[in-house]
Amino acid sequence: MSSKFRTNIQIWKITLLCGFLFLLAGTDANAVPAFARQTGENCASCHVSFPELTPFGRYFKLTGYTLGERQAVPLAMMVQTGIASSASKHDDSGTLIPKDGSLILQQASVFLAGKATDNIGAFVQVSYDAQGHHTASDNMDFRAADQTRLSGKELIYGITVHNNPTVQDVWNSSPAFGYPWFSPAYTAGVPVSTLIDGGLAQAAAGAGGYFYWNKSIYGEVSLYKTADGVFSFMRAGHTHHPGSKTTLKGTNPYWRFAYNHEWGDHSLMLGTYGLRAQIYSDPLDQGSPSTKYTDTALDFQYQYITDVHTVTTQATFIHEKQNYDSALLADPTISGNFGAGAPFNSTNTLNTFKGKVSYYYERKYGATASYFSTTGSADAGLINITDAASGSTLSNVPNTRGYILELDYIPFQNLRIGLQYTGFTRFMGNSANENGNGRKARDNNALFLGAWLSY
Amino acid sequence: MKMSNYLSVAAVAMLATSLVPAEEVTHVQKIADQLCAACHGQDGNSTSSNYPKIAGQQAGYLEAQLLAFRDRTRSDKDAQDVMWGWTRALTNQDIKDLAAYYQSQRPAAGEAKSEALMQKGAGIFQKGMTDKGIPACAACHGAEAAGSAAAPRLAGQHDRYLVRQLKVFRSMERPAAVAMHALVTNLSDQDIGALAAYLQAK
Repeated sequence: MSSKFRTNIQIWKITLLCGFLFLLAGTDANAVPAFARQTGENCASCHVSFPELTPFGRYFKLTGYTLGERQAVPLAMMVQTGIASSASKHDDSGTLIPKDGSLILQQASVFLAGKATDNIGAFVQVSYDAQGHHTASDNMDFRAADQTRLSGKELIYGITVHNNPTVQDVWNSSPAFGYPWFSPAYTAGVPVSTLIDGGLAQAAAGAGGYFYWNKSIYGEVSLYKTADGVFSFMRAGHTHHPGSKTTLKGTNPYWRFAYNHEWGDHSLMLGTYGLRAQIYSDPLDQGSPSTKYTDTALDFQYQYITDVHTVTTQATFIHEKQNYDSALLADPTISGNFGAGAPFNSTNTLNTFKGKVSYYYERKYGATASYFSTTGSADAGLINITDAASGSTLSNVPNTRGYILELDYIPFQNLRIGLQYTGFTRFMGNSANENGNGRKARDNNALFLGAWLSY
Repeated sequence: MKMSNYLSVAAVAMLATSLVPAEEVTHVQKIADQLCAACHGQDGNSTSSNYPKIAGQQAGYLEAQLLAFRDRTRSDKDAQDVMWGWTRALTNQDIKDLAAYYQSQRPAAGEAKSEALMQKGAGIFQKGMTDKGIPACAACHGAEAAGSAAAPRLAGQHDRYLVRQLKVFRSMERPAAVAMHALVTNLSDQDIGALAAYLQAK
């Protein structure tokens, strides 16, 4: 098939997609997701743009998704589709990203979301992953909450049961609902992350209690264990490859404290969160050696929200210490991802910084700039990237740095169209040859045009 | 962790919440706390200019607006996007009680803007603009802009909210404010800005 013919097909696909989206735009009157139907609110009451929460959105989540009228069918759906193009889809070994430049369905989700009683509500997402061609549990958060007054000021308190540390959090500086809101499915992402940054998503079940006093002081403690037994529905669909799941040892604590201040059209949050968790090296063997993770994070969020101008910024710094059982060290039976296997060091550290600033005009036209960096200690046992030709070592560190620039258009409240450019200045410790086959860090740079429809 | 451990955690959490020194909250306070406070502030003095201050507002005005939101006769964008939803389950009695509750709250003064702008606004508010055929706002809203049975309190209101509403009056999205519709037609954007700056600081 000639490339010109392929390009024509792509143009037709995009035209058809746009036509479909604008047909839906015509049926906007009642076309709002479950929470909006429950509260009778515009999406913009709770979201700056999906999924970033406004002060009111935080209040709605903390009060257990219970405001409004219970819906007979509290369902909503979401579709993400897009086309991405990498700076280079090859390296010396051949083609790495075969779907580069193709319009693909990325993800489709169904939500069961809303109030069950005046004090109990839930947010349950089940997603179809179009890359793996299977459907699985996604973000889940069940809450029971109530309100009273303490020293004459409002006090919200409640309990939450959920399946990813920080999925229950209400500030978008923490990882689960942090930026980027959506990313291309096939192009490169940051290869190494801290455990709290997605490492336990849909693998752990957590239960915790929280309070929020006078919109200023927030505190929460949650405990996590493997999402098995009665909680196995929270990781359903993620365990179809034996050995690919994550198994936690025992009960693992998470904390979150935040100071929030709202004045005029501004709101500010300074906070800390963290997790101590132990993970078995062999998820199928609860006698296998384990790694202790201690993640400690600081985060910050500022929002200025009016009907015309909106400026929001979030940043977080996560420090992780990994402490290995001695039986794990240099175990030759363990194979890893980066040309290596078991660690040589008894402890390693990882540091992640992520920050972004967004501007929206009339909640319709948006621009975002973000920076990300992950650096870690050198361990040739874990990471040993060697030059394919000479065999010499290129990197023993996971250091990856880059930026994202994004333009968004929200023609109506159910649809976001985004043009996103991700650039890497360093990838797995290298800029000139990140994988041993001559791939430069910047070869992973990607341009992504995506559409996100929720209904 | 075993199921029984989870139950213990839940039991401890419930015990902890029962220890929260709950204060006596009236029915109307409960509605205010749960429905209104998140945007309008616990005492009706909202911090964000996206939402009007309603502390000290005239009860008759509040009642008429809440009814107009619930019955969907007030149709400006903010009303449709936000207030139609929150008011749909309110009874007439709830509305009366909420109106009285917020009237009884103490209004906070707003921030002062440029002196020249406020002086211009004060002139329009107190004396009107004879060249444009605009009567003094104070005639209905009172010399202190505290409102009356016929007109809402404007003193201390967020200037951005006042600007938005004065522009809404150019349309017919607030049919109950037919008098305002006629009055604002000749107000320029600069006049509106001056009025809003003056009133916010009052």
